[in-house]
Amino acid sequence: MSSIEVRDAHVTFGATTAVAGVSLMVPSGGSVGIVGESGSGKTTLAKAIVGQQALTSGAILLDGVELASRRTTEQRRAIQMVYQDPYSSLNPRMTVRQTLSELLLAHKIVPRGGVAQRSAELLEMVRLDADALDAFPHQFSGGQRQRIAIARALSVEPLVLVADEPTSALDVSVQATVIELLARLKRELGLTLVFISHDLAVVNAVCDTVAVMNRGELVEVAPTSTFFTSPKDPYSCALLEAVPRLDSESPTP
Amino acid sequence: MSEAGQAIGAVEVNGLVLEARGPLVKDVSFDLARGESLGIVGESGSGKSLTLRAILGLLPAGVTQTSGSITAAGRVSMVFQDPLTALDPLTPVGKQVAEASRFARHTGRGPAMAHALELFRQVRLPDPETKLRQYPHQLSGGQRQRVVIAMALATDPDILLCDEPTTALDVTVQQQILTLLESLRRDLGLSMIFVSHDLAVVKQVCSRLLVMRSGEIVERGDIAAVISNPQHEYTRTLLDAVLPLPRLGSAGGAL
Repeated sequence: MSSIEVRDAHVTFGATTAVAGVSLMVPSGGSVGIVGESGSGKTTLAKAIVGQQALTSGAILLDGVELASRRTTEQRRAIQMVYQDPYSSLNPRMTVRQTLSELLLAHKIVPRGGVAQRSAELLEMVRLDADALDAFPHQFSGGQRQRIAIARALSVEPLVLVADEPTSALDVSVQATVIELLARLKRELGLTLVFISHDLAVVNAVCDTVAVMNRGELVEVAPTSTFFTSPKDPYSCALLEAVPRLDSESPTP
Repeated sequence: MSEAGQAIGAVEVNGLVLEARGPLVKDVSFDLARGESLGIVGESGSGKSLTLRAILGLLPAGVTQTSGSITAAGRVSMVFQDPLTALDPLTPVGKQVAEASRFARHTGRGPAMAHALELFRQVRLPDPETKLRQYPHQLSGGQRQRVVIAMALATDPDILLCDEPTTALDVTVQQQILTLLESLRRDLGLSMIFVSHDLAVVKQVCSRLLVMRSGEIVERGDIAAVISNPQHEYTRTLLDAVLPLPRLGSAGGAL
């Protein structure tokens, strides 16, 4: 269990400001959903939290300890990421077993003799059969591939999981099962979750806090329970009103 | 294209079978009256996009129509899912739309470019004169999709086919494009077939619904009726998968 804090983070690329002074605290075991449109800076913020993107100024703190721009192996292990597209984030030429064992050995999670058993356990955690271990990514459906990507992130026993649009490449019914899985893993493993999405309904299902980004800034941070019924910021309202709903009016023929 | 007695804008699909190595679309039949909007929902691989492509007459290589008939009375045009791949990156967008217009109207460059400008206004592109000369990468995703819609309209269609036209867009931009498509349909009297995996999106623009699964239609009907009272188990699964959102301003918080 670990808390993650972003303190006055700025990221600029030349003349472009992607993240403009974001401060955000996610308590241990908490789950925050960062929502916003393309170009709002949410993915850049996610990458900064994981350590793939250096901050121009500001700080990321894990359990109150500021992370240096070069993180220790321990610190890198502690914060793991699940990517949007499971098609491009898994190595197509490695079996699931190879993908998982590489990490388990490199980070010395288990002794060599325990790798097979731990790999099987990881697959069980994401509800895949152990016989999936010797298959290649292309042999799986999109939802199964995203489960493998989650198993890979969990293999190094992280404290914080950052998920960048983990369901937006999936069909709706598959999306529901992946969301259920993430919610269950968060509960069972006590993970702190940073969830990046443009889909408000997904955030509503998974997160206890909503943080809305627009043009690099956080415009609203509120508990999920109050955000969806009474958003404060005008941009949050516009975002919520744009969501297509099943109970809306249909056009007349 | 038009059969005797069939009104312009009507579509009739009868016993359509599409096959590659195995059957992909199995005995699909439906019809569409002029000015009507029909939604087709289903997951990846359900055959919804293939059915649409068969109506356009543009099946992917290796897929053949082995049985059934399609009659589409009038000009058919399609709005594609991904504007980045539907547009030529090396040609100004105005020229691309003008080319479609020249092809359909058999006019010269001048009138075609004037038509493109008129279409850019119709799809409410901001600053249309400047946009004509710009390249796809200079436009936002929503603007690119407006160009793709303008290109579809350039051939003066009677029937507009839409294949997940908002899937690649942000939710606020999606709302704008759906509103645009709905107003174009009304103003121009277009018949529209709208394919999506998202029931809530289809609900915004269509009055009738087909639910497809594994190449077959499992349920059909008035969209409000299907949503409030689904008959097929698969339709219920699709409906259950739509995540709930509390109503704005409602009391009591989430769920």
